[in-house]
Amino acid sequence: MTHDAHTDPGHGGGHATSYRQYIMTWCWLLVMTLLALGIGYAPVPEGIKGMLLVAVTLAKIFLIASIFMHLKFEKMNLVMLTFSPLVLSVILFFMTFGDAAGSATHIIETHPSYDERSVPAHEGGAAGAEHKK
Amino acid sequence: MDATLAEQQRILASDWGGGKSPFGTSWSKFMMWIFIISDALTFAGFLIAYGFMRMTSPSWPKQTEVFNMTLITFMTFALISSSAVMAMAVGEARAGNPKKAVKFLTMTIIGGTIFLGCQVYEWSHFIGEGATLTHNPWGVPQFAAGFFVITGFHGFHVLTGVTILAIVALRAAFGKYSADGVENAGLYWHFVDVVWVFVFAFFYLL
Repeated sequence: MTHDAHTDPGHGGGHATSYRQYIMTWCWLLVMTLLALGIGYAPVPEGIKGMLLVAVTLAKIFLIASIFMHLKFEKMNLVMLTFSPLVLSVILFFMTFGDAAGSATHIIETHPSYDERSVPAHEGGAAGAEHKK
Repeated sequence: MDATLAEQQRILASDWGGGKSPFGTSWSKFMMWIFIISDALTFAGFLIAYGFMRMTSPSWPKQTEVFNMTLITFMTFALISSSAVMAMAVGEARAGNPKKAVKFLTMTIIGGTIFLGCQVYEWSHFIGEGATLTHNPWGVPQFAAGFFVITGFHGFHVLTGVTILAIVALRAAFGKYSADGVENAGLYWHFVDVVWVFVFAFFYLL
């Protein structure tokens, strides 16, 4: 009955294979992180940006859960259980979305960038300027 | 009476009848999953509340300008890398190689500590610029409140994870490790990574 007793395909059959799989997963996660970063900076409408970021995030979660957390090797009962927070989150989102969307103005304020703020104002940077507000 | 007994035996023989494991895991691993699912709901609540606050606010600062995105990306790199070596630690623990498991656990702890160090730097910088739970120098106060609550709660999870991993690594170094213990700690650590993936996308980039 203990987990130690059964053969886990995720760990058995040579470490080289497992390591390769973990390293490949790591590489994909880094690529998708850079992709998400690119989407964050892309000059696209907020709605489209949101959908693209949801897609990339779900792909990353899928990789982490299936490979690193070994859900790929677990029984379907457990896998289905792990979907419950996602399903409940979607319900909660749509419960609040109606009210939020009705009052949104979507004004995105621009400010001096982090790097500009790091330079003191007397040296020509914007540090301290934002405190005037 | 016979029919009732037969029905009872039929139920007991089924996956859900007791005496079996419908989820095919040890109880400790299953309890860890239950914890992860309940904790995921907590973070889901935070992120949806954040979305609501943001959409109902008259304006919102542009995060890619307010935050040091190079630092945030590096923090993401550190956490993802630590998750990958954690998976290797679990593999070694399962294969009965405690020394290698300890080595990978130590690398995971280093990754988590680097993440925490960067977060301390980010928080101190933010506080230094005048941000508090109720005041935000870049506009609406909800922005700073969301930042401190969400990243603070996540950071607390990372700190807890580093502590748990240190205990597991020490136990493994003294030969008191169990593969289940390492795997459960690993599940928690990967969950912390999963939460950060959501925070990175929805708080810092969207």
